[in-house]
Amino acid sequence: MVLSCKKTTELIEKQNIQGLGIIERFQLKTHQSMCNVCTSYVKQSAIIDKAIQKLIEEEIAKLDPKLDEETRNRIIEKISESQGQ
Amino acid sequence: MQGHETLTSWVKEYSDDLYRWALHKTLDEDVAKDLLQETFLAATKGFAKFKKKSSPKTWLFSILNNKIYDYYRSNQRVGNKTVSLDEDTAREVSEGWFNESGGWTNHTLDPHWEDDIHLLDNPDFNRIMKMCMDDLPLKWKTAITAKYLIDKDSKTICKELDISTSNYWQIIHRSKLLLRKCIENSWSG
Repeated sequence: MVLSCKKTTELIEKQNIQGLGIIERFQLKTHQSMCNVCTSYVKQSAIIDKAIQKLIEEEIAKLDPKLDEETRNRIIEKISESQGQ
Repeated sequence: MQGHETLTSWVKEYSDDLYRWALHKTLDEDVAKDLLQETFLAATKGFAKFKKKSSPKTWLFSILNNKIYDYYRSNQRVGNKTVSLDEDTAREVSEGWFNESGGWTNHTLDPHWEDDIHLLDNPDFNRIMKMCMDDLPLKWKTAITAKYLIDKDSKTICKELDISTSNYWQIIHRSKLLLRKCIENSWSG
């Protein structure tokens, strides 16, 4: 059975996440040997993964890791309130 | 006022560590603060159940982790935020790049992808990437970032997101298709 490009790119993501069975692996390889768009999809998918990871690292670096006193005091207040009820 | 002094001292002692953890897992200061507050309120409510079997810090972290996973799950269930695409539209759009037999409708290869080493160091590319990520339906964005935020095997991620493994890689697949197209569109201006 020949896979469609849609199914092939789906399997590429499945492979990254949970791995493939032997038949799926064979189907994927066969399709990729004749389809350059799907072959380049593998590369594009990997670039996107790396870019997401980088984006997250950058976002983490930008965040202020210090908790302000106002929030801390508000939490202490809320604890008192919840106990008062 | 059972345990009031103890709880207050825990806020002073552990809130920095708990907050930093929540921040790394949600990338959002307001959300992290809310989760921190919810954690301490849950600890107040369940204080009688805390039997010093574990350290307070371990106990608080386990409460916080549950709150974080609740937050991820609520993102999975949530309707659509106005800014991002809704899920049905996004699915339709991603299906649209294949013909009825599942072949690509467009066979052109964008040469930009070939320069993969420099691409990741290109500030423009990273800016585009961020913009395209923000366009994803929230549920998809959560799923695709969960891999890095939860930092566990995919089985655990799916369990925490409350979705099946096949649903998970289908969402990743559709998200990648959208991101790929969004990136290419921005290149062609």
